[in-house]
Amino acid sequence: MSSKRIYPSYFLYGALLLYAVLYLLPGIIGIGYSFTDWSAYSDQINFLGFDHMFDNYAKAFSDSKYIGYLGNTLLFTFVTTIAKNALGLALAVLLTKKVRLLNFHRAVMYIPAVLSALIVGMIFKSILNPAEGLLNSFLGVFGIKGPQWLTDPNIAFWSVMAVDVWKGMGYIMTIFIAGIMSISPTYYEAADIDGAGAWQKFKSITLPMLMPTITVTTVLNVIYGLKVFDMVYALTNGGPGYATEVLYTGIYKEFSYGKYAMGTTLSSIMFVFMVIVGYFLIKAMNRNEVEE
Amino acid sequence: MASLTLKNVKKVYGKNVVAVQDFNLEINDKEFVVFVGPSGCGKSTTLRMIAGLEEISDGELFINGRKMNDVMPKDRDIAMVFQNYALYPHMTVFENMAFALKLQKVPKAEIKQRVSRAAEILKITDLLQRKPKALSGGQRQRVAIGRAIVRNPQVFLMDEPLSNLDAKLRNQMRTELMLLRKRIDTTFVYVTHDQIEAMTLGDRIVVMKDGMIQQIGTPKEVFMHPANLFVAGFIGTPQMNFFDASLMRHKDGFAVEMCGNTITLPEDKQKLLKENSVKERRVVAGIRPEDILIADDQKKADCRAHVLLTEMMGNEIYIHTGIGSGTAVIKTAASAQGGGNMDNIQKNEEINVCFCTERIHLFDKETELALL
Repeated sequence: MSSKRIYPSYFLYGALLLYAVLYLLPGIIGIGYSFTDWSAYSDQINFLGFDHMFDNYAKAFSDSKYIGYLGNTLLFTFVTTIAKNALGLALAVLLTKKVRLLNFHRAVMYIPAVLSALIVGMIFKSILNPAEGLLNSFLGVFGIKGPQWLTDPNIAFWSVMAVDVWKGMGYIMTIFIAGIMSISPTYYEAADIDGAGAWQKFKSITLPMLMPTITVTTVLNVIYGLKVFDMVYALTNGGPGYATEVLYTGIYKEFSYGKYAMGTTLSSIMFVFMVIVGYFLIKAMNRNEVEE
Repeated sequence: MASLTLKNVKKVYGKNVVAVQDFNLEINDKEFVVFVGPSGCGKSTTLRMIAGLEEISDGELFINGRKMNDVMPKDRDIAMVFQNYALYPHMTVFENMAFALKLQKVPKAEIKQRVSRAAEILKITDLLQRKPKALSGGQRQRVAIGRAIVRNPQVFLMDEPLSNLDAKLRNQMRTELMLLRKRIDTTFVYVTHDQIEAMTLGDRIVVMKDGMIQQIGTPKEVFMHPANLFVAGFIGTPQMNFFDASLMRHKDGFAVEMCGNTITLPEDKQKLLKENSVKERRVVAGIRPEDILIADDQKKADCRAHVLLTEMMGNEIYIHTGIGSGTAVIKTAASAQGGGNMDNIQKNEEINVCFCTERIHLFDKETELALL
């Protein structure tokens, strides 16, 4: 069969139907609901009217609570993406060297990635407990009084991000290990002869040749960061106050309070946001592939 | 410019996989030495030990009298051209060539001047701003050589640099390497599995097999006086013909019984055999394809040959024949001077052949070492 031959269009129908019913339709309906007053307190769902159709959106962008959700989500995405990439890359560089018990070390670093976020959350809730938690007890041995990791509003969100980085960096590391191992050793040999030291080899060979991989891990981290829910839910459930609330935990709460219209509004904002970010990331990714 | 000495160099992988052993070689200043041998003979491993990319398991390596076993590659003042070029794909040609100089903190103006000069020698000036992926195989090869030239190294190491090129380009680059060698007059160690490259480029050839040196000599020595059966078979195309034979006393001297005939050896060979106190024994007689001649007259012939097939190579013909119980290839000019047209020889024809006895090689059947 000629490779140029076009497949019959009915091959597409099954997948298209599933996609339409499960993704497209609920998505469009969801956006539609964001222009209504849908809530658990009334049987009727009313369109807000053309004059007030963006009221829910205006509220989302003017209420400091919702702006806080958005800000936290962006901060979480930014910090965890950079930290996971940096630590994942550092671990990958170390664990592609001749190290004793190499696979053991790799496995140890990867294990957090296979644990459920809820379980990690529960473990760290115990470790970070200010009174009897492992961390503060350990600090206590040296006479240091540890802070209230998950209940101090100034620290709580950073604790959540730190736990998330700990959980996620092993996964990113494995992607980097695969990337580093696909770089031909001849380049390093050529660099050895050219007189490059370890840092110069990293800077001039490993890093530039890992750019496609770094793009992939960045896309994964950004998408994960924007969608984060379970880690925040398990560790702080958005508290204290709204200090650690992110968009998805916020949406979840809006729905549980019966404020369906606001929930769908925040979901729609998230959707548009993800489409924009996704577009630029995929564009960047394609450019890197061409460069390669 | 430097001399190299390898003393009892050995390379063992793991516990007992011996890649190279008993490697002893002196390479003189400005000499072009070629390591040649089949795949897995240890030639690249030896080169990589000289480069410092492989640890030397045992023995010593000296460059200009300085022991180099534990010296880092960058401190050996060597440059290497790799089989797959190993050009950094994200850097331009200029950056590739300048990389080593940049690391040495050579001033920018000098880097530019040295790269430009090397680019001029290799005729790649107009490619300096391109990236490797935008270059052809031959151009990449030039850049790889350029990257080595700019550093003015003491020793040039080349690991099968032409093997990724097509046949025509390989011939062209081989000639250019010979010219380049004259221009940059330094010590070269060159690895190849191609015996034509070895013969044409090397001042001396080191023939290797199974991690051991089989023979060291000039191209002529290795071709004319192969030290053993392996070297005899490896050097020369088509390869030397071998016949099971017996060396026996005949009248006052020696004769070889082969292909059902007794062939008397010429004076100089008789003398050598006597000097070496060689006794009667089973031998392998080796005759190169160009040293088997087609005789017009049956009386002059040493034996009859049955033509199996002929290969027309243009200016010459390879005639594959059955002689006695074995086979032999005869190489002859397509239109032999005064001998009629050899390209008329047909399959299944019986022809008369005679051996050029001055060029006969004898090897001990047991040890496979040359007797002459």
